[in-house]
Amino acid sequence: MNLIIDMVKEHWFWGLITLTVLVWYSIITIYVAYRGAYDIKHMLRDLAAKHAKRQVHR
Amino acid sequence: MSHFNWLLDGSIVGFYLLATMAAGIMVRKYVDKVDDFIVAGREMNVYLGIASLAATEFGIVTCMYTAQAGYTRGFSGAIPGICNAIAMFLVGYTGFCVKKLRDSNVMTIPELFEKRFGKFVRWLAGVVIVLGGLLNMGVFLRVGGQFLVVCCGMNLQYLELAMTVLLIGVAAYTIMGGMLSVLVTDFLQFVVMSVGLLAVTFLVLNKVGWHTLTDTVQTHYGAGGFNPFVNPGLGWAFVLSNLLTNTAAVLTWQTSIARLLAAKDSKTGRKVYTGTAFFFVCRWIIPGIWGIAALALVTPDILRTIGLQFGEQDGSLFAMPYMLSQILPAGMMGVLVAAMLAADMSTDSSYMLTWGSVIYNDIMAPFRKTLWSDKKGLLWNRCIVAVIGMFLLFWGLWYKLEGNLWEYLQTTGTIYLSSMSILLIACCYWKRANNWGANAAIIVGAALPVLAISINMFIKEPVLDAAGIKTGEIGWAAKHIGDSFINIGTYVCVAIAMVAGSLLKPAPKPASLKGTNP
Repeated sequence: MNLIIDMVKEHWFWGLITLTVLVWYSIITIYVAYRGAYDIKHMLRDLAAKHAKRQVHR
Repeated sequence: MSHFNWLLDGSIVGFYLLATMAAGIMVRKYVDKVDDFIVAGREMNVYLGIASLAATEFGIVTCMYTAQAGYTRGFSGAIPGICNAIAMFLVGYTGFCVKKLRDSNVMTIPELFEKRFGKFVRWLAGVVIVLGGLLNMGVFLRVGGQFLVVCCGMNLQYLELAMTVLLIGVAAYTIMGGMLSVLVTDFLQFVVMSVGLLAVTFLVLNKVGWHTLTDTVQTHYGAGGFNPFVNPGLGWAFVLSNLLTNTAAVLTWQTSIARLLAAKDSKTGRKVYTGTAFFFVCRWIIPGIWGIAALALVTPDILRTIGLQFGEQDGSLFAMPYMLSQILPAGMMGVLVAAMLAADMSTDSSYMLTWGSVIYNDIMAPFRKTLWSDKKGLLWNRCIVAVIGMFLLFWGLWYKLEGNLWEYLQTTGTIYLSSMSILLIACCYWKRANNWGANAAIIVGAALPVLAISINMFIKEPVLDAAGIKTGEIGWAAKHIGDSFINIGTYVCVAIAMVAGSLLKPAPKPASLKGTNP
């Protein structure tokens, strides 16, 4: 807690940017890890369907 | 003495490497067309795009130069990250250029230029993109190896061997699975890299403290360490130069554009841009904090010794890895090294693939008189990636970097960033733009940075300390003109060349209305 108070009090511009970076990056890591896995699943499913369709056409 | 424990930390790193390689190689079965190889069949969605773009744009080399910026310039060193984030958010939000680019369904930027400026401009654009990109990525491997040597306490004689093995592994999955492998491995690398970066930053802040960081910057750089405009070594020219470079990079940097073009549609591509924008602040602030912590904890004598070990006078590049090797406990070192390797692998794979795609799609275009089969196209793409890997290996091993790493990357990037960004804007929004202007812009954009690099290499001047003792050497152009002014001047000259060249070419006569319907 002292660290956060220090960051806001001393050189508040860089303190706030650093705090925002840490909070935003922590949240985005968890969110992108979850949603990105879902995207990969769908991408591979769609590619597999395309792949199968091409095999049939050959 | 590094805290890296080869059993504990080595196991963490080894497990991570095996898992990534396996994932990268497993998806190769989905690749049977050139489209799949270069743009992953255009099936990439938003969150995978964000993970991939963020992972690609953060390598060990990024971590090293951003930490160096923190060490040598304090918080002001993070300004390029803020410029980059602003540019990326605005471009993504407005769709400036990128909407038209993605909607055109091309695979590379030069392909779009052909539609407007003709075949020769496409080929020439491909050549400068590859020239600038390869010179830029040429230093990645060596700098990555130096990080591992300093951080893990690895014997210097194994640097080449370790980086060669890593590169072979990365090249293997990139050659097999192309963009698809790159996207899947990038995702894993993003997660590992982010966890490592955050964990280490929390630990550094906890151990060193915010008060010590700001005090250190104040002591070494005064107000200029917090405000770039009052820093005598930076000033408005540095900020403007970074705004220009970063806007151009957002519009034309091959690895970013590859994500835009692999996106399902332009809306998805723009969301990837706006969603990733703030990451560019993170990628400068986080290592910047590490660099400032190194400034507080590491004495210059130690850095001079480490620098000389690599044959370099300036040891500021090694401050951050040395500091981390001293304050991180065993276990945490494994997490850090895995994170850094993750960062490096995602960067190397993506750079090899995306610059390879320009060689295949644009430079080789005149040689493909007839339509090639997908099998032949895939084979060529794979060979090109392998050749780029070999180039990285050999250039990376013998090229010795002098001076500030970020300035080197900026100058080599400008070889194509300046001309390609101006061409893209003109191509999308200026009806009068034509091939005369495009050719002039490409030549001027490549010639000026190459001239500056050559002058700096061949005409050196001594750097003297306060007592008048020679401490190193600096290139003539860097000393008398300054890297920022060279950069700004290049953009101005390229814009003038584009406008003047286009206006000099006689405008096509309007089509006769005779015989047409009213």
